[in-house]
Amino acid sequence: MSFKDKIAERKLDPGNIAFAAFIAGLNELRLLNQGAVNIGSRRMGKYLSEYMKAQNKTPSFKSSDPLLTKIKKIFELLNQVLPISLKYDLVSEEECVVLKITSATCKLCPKGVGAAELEGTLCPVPGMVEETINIFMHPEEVKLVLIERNVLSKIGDECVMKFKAS
Amino acid sequence: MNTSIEEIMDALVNSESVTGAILVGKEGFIIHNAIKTARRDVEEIGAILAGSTGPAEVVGARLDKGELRQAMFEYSKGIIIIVNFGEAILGVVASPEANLGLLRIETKKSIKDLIKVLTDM
Repeated sequence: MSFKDKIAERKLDPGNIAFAAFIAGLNELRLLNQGAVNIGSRRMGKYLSEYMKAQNKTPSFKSSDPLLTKIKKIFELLNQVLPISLKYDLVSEEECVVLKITSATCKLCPKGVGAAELEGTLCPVPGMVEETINIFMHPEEVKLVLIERNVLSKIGDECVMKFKAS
Repeated sequence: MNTSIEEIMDALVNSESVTGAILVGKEGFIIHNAIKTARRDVEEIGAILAGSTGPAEVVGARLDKGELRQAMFEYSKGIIIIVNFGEAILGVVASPEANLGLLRIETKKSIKDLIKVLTDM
């Protein structure tokens, strides 16, 4: 697929490309791993939440709503404020809420957008979403669940992350 | 031979001069933490520890030195040995007066056992 086609398919803006390419560039020096990206991306979640509050864009849910409902509302709003993906699904599985993003639609992917060459992952989404959820659900908290020693798992054409109430 | 990650790590931190050890996956997430003092930032330390070998790997590759096996950092208040093996990275923290030869032998022994346990997992 040409880069021109990728821009059209993912509806990329220059900010998406700059961000993903920057992360991919740092990867050339192997400065990052998913754990380190999580630390940085939690900060993204913190400040995006502050931005949302400053813009009076806060998710609306009741404290008695199920965890899935709350996370859905928070993620929908986050995805409006900072478009992450055009196609995703949020489902309950056992004790977890699972976010499945169709990989080919993600706008922040250092691999798919920034062409990072790496075996593992450098995805900013898990940490950013975890922190955003925790800020808007406070005092309730969720924690990312490790799947085979990572917070992100590629299953078929989807990137999958799990959140569990802590 | 110790047969679990916990046993191997506990044996290592019970060695003379060793004050802690952390085992992390390549993606920087903790597999086992055996640092003796309780810390709230162990998750961050694990991620940084795993990331700390990355630039050294790149330098080694560019200078055609092959894969990185081990790195040692000497600080004013202690020593950290980082061993990169297979799917994981082991960080061993020791006091400044540690016998480096003995420390490397103990670390090497633990690595051998950890490889076996991780391979069987």
